[in-house]
Amino acid sequence: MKKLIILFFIIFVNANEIELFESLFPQLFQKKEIKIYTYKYAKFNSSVLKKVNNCQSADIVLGEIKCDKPKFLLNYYNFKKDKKAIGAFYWRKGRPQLRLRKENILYYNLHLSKAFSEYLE
Amino acid sequence: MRVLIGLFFVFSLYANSLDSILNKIEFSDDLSNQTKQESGGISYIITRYQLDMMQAKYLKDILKTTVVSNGSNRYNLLDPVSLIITPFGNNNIKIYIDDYEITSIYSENPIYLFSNLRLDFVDHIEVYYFSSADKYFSEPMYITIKLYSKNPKRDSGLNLFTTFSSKYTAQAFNYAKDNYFISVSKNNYNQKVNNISKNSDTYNVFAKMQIGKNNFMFNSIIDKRDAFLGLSMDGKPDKSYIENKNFYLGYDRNFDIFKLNYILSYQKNEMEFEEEKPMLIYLKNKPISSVYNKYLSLIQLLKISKEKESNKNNLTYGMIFKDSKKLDSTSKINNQKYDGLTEILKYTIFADDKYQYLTNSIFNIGISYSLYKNISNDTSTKFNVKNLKIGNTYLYNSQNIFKLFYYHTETTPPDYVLGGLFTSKDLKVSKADNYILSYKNNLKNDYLFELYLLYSNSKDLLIFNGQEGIVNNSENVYAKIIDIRFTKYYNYINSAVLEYFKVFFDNVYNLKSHEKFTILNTHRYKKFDFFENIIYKKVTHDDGINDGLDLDLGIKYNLNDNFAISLKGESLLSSRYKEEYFRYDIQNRRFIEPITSASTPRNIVLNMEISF
Repeated sequence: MKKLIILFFIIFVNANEIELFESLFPQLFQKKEIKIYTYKYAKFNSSVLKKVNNCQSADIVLGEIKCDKPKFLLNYYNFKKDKKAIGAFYWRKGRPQLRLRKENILYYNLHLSKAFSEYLE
Repeated sequence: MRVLIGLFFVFSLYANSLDSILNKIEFSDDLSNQTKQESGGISYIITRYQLDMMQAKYLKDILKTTVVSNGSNRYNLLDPVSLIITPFGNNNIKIYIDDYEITSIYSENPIYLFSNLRLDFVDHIEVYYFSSADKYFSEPMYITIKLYSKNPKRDSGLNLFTTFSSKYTAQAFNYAKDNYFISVSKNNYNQKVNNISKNSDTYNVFAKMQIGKNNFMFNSIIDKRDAFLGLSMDGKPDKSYIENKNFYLGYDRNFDIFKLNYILSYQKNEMEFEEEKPMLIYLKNKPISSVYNKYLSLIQLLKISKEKESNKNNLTYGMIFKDSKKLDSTSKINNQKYDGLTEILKYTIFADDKYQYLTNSIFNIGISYSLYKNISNDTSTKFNVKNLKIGNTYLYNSQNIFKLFYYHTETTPPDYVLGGLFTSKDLKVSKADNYILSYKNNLKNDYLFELYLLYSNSKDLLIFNGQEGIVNNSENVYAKIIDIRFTKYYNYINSAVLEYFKVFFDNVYNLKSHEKFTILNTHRYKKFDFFENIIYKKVTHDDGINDGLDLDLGIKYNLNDNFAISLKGESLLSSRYKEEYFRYDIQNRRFIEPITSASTPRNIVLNMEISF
C-alpha cells in the first residue's frame, strides 16, 4: 500500500513537471512534437515529448549534458553557471521556479511568446 | 451558449497556463503530502506555501489560527489548555521534530520552548487535536505538533533572515547541501505589560544529516525569560524568571526488519519565583513565598517498531523505552529543601491495525500499555497507563468521507507534581473517554468542507486545593466540541479558509465555553504574496464574557530568486482579544482591576530574506 502511494506520488510529481514542458517547449519551438534528450526522466507518458537517445536527434537537452542543442536546466546553481542555457526549472526557497533567457532563445531562433514575459531574464 | 464556450475557453487557457502548472507542481509536491497522517480528530496541515504566505515565524503565529490557540499563562509560558496553577501545567502535549519526539518526561509541555523559536528551519507543520498522530504509535494526545524540517535538496544554499519590529528582533541563517541542513537563530523579545517584563531571549541550533540509511538530528534550544507575574498576586513580582537549556541528539534507521529511533537529550532547567506578599499558592494553609528549582537531567528514548503490510491490512507494533534521570537537582519551597523524583522509567508496548474490510470502509484499532516507575530517594511508585483507539472510516464516494472514533486516554501526573511538597500522596492517573465524529466533503481541488463533533469525559483531572495541594478532581469534566471548516481554493494553491469552533465545558471552574471564528485568506499575485487573517475569540465564564476581534495583514515582495522583503501587521485592531490576570490587594483585602495583555500584542514586523 505504502509503495503504491510513493510510486503514485513520484509519477504524479513527474507528470506535473512533464506537463510544464509539454506546455512550454511546443510554444518555443513552434512544433507539435519535441524530441528531448535527458538522463533525468527515465520514463514518462507524453503525446508531445519524445525521448531520444542522442544529442544530434534532439530538439532540446534537459539537464547538464554536453551537447550543442538548446539546453534547459533543472538546477538553480547550474543555471547560474551555464550562461548558454535557454532556461531552467528548479526549486528555490521552497517554490518551483521557471526562468527563460531571452538572448539565448533568440540566438537559437526560437519563438518568444507573450506568455513567457514574467519568466524572462 | 457563446458565453459558456467563451468561459470554457478562458478556463482552459487558465488551466494550462505556465503559472497554473507551476502552482499545481507546488501544491502536489508539498512535502506534507508525504508526511500527513490519517487522523480521527481535528487536524491542521500548514503547508510550506501557507507558512510562507502567512509570514509565520513562530509556532504561536500558527497556533493562533487553530483550535489550540496561543494563550499564555501568568508565568509567560504558552500554555493553551492548562487548568492548574503551576507553571508547566500540561502533560498532554507532544512535540516532534521530523520523526523525533522531543517531549521529555521532565518537561511534558515543550510548547513554551517552541513558542518563541524561529521557524526558519521548518518546512511545514502538522497539528493534531484529540487524536493520535504518530504513525508508529497510537498514544492519543490532546495536542500533537509535528515540525518537519526543510529538505536540503529543495533548500540548498545559504539563506539569511532578519526581522525588525517594535517588540522583537531576530536573526537566522540556514545552510543546506545534498544531505545535510544547518539552521541557527536567535530571537530577542521585549515587552512590558504594566511595567512587568515579559522579555525573553531564545537561541536555537538545528542540524540534520543523512548518511546512507542513517539519519541524524541535533537540536538545541536556550531560552531565558522573565516569567511575568509568577507567584505575584498584586501584580508586582519581586523575582520571576525561567531558564532552559535543552540539547537533543536523534538517530533513526529503517532496517529491513524494524525501524529504530533513538534520542539522547540533556536538559538544564532553572526557575525562581519570589514574592514578599504571597497569596497565590498555599501549602497546608501557608502561602508559598519562594520557589526555586534547578536540575540537570539526561533523557533517553528508544523506539523500535515494525510495519507489516498486505493488500487490505496495515499493522504496526513495537515498544518504547524512556528513561529520564536527574543528574543533579536542587528544589526548594519557602527555602525548605525537598528531593522530588530522581528518575522516571517508562516502558510502553503498542500496536495499531488498519483493516480494509469493505472496498469503502477501513476499521482501525490501536492499543498501548505503559508502565511508569517513579523513583525518589526514599520511595518508588508505579503507574499503569492504558490507551485505546477504535475507529471506522467510511468513504461514501471519493468526495464524501465519514469517520467515527473512540479514544480512551490515560495520563500520569507531571513529574514536578509527583514527589512535590504540595502534592497529595495518593494521586491517581487521569482518564478520559473521547468520542469523535467527522465528515469531509472534497470536490476536486475546488473546495473542502470539514465537520467535527467531539464529546469528552475526563475523570480525576488535577486541580489545586489550598489545603491539600494538588489533588484529583472528584468531579468529572465534560467537553463538547463542534468545529466547522470550509476551504475554498481559488486555484491549486491560493485559498480562503473559514472556521468556526466552539467548546462547551462542564465543571471547569467557572468556565462555560470557548469559541472562535477565523478567516484566513492567502493569495499570490505575480511577485507579491498577500495574507489577511481575521480572528474573533470569545470566552464565556459564569460571571461574564471576554471577547475580541483581531486582524493580521501581510504583504511580501519576492524581488528575485535571492531577495524577498515582507511587512506584517500583527493584532492591528484595538478590539483584539486580551487575557485577564487577576490581582488582589493584600493590604486592603480586595480584588483590584485585573491586568490585561494580548497574547500577540500590536506589532509591525519587517522581514528580509537573502539567499546565496
